[in-house]
Amino acid sequence: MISVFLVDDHELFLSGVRAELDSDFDIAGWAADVDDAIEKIRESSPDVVLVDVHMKGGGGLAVIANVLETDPETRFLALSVSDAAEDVIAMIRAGARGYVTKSILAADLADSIRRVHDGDAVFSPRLAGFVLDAFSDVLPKDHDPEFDQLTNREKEVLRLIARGNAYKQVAKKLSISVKTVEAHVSAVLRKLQLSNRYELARWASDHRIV
Amino acid sequence: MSGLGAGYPPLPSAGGCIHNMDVQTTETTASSKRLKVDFSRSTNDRWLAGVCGGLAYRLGVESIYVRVAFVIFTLVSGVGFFAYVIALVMTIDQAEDHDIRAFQPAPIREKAALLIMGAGTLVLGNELGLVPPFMFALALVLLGAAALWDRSQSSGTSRLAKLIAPGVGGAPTVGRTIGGLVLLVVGLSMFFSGVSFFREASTLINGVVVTAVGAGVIFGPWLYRLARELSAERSERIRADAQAEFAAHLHDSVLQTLALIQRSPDDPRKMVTLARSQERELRNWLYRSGSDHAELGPALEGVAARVEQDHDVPIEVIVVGTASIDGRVEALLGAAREAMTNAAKHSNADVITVYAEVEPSAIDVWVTDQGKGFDVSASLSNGAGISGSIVGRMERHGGSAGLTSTDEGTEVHLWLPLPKDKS
Repeated sequence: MISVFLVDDHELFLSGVRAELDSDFDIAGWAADVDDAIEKIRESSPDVVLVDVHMKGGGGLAVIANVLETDPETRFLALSVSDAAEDVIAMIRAGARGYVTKSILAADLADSIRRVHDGDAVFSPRLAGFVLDAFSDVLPKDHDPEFDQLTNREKEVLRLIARGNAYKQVAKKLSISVKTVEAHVSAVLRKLQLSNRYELARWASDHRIV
Repeated sequence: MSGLGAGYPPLPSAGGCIHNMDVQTTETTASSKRLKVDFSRSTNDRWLAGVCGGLAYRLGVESIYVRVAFVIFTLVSGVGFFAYVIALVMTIDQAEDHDIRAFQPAPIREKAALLIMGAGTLVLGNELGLVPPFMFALALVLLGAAALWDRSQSSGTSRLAKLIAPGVGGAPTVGRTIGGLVLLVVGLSMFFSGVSFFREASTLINGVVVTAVGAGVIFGPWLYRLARELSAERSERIRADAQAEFAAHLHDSVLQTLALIQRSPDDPRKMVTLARSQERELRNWLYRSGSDHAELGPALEGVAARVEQDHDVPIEVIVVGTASIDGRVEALLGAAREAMTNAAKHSNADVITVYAEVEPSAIDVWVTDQGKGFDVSASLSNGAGISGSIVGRMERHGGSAGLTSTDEGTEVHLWLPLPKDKS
């Protein structure tokens, strides 16, 4: 059974999610603040950590950065009420394997956790939209060659996800396997986490993120 | 959301309390930050304005040493006096800083000792020629001014006034005022007669200058305090206004929606829609206030919100890129609304997804649901809705509309080319 750790400073929400996930997952523990979370995650070394974005003391970013330093194999799924571009992009770039909003249905959340545990990335329609937005700006002729571009296939996959298709439907529409869809999505996530150069910064400043 | 309790509740409601707490936290943070950087004037260990007491507290030494140091520096070079004045202007009262402590007057003995010591040093220095005459005059001016400055608002009386006339409390008395004025005038005349420039100038000019400086000394602190109070009052009012707006908004929106949700516990679909529309509205208010409805993104979200409210189906809107709205984009929005309405009415889907992408040459909009689907060709031939308001509308504006529907869902693709000169 996949062990899951929950980090959320909202008591009510925390207990709600705990109850929802209790039957399908092994709840390794939970924490309501950043320091507590870092300590307990190191102790219990869970498979997947569900982490809230906005918390006192550095928020989800601090949790991810600190834990990844000592336990790089821990997988993080960001869970937040915020759907603001800066939060989403910041969490992904810190190392989260996916970002879902708190309005997600319980079944979808469970599915996302399994996906993250299997090493795949979880792209909600909105996240796919943000990524397309960040990468699809018309690039200048002399753009930084190190900046990872999305391939056309990856853009197609993202568009289909942004249009509300599940991975299975994306695979069907593009006549490829679900595994291939997952590979594309993981590649996009990697590019998003690694390319910290000029273009992404420009997108961020255009969208008043920095 | 009408018919439920018009008018606002009294302001100190739940919203108000939360807001209050927030404000207080901010203030505490600000004051502790200030303490780190410098120091605030002491309210309980104060002879003049509490500068020495505050500084001593900050340095962790007995305040008497700081006072002696100030007096020595003042008498020898005058630096102490200016340092005191600068510190007085730069720092704030602990009372203003919400750090209220019990007032404890300094023991009379300590005061008398320091006063005698100061006077002795002053006279001795004057005799030996160590203290320049103007410093002697300045000391008199300072004493006079201190007697006149009324600090009744914070602690009752000027500490120095107590020193000069022990036992006198409250507002400045006639005796203290006269004493202070005499000291002030004598000090000022001594000061100006000691400076060669004024000795040679006419009596008229001297009179004007002395009066101006005297008035400045007497009324300066009062004017300064007045200005500070005015600005404090203004920021307080701004804060109160913001709080009132916050409370009013919460009442109009969140409380009304919660009431509606409690009234329809048997209709989960209705509850979800209410929660969603409230969430959307609150987000807009909190994060996107003043967002431009002349942009495609906000406009499409607005359209979706209306359809969502009318038909109780959640609609996810995702927009990539930006475009401003003209007549043709207006038509695109109309077609999109029609597609959303159809999906909401007929598909039985749990959620409808709207995805718009602006490219340099065209705008694409997809309206997708995972509902039961319908017979596209049959609908195109008889239903006026789809053929007229979606396909026809797009074609009239140089675009196109494509529909695909299976039993796994429906997708409407709207495409509108943009003129080349644009973007």
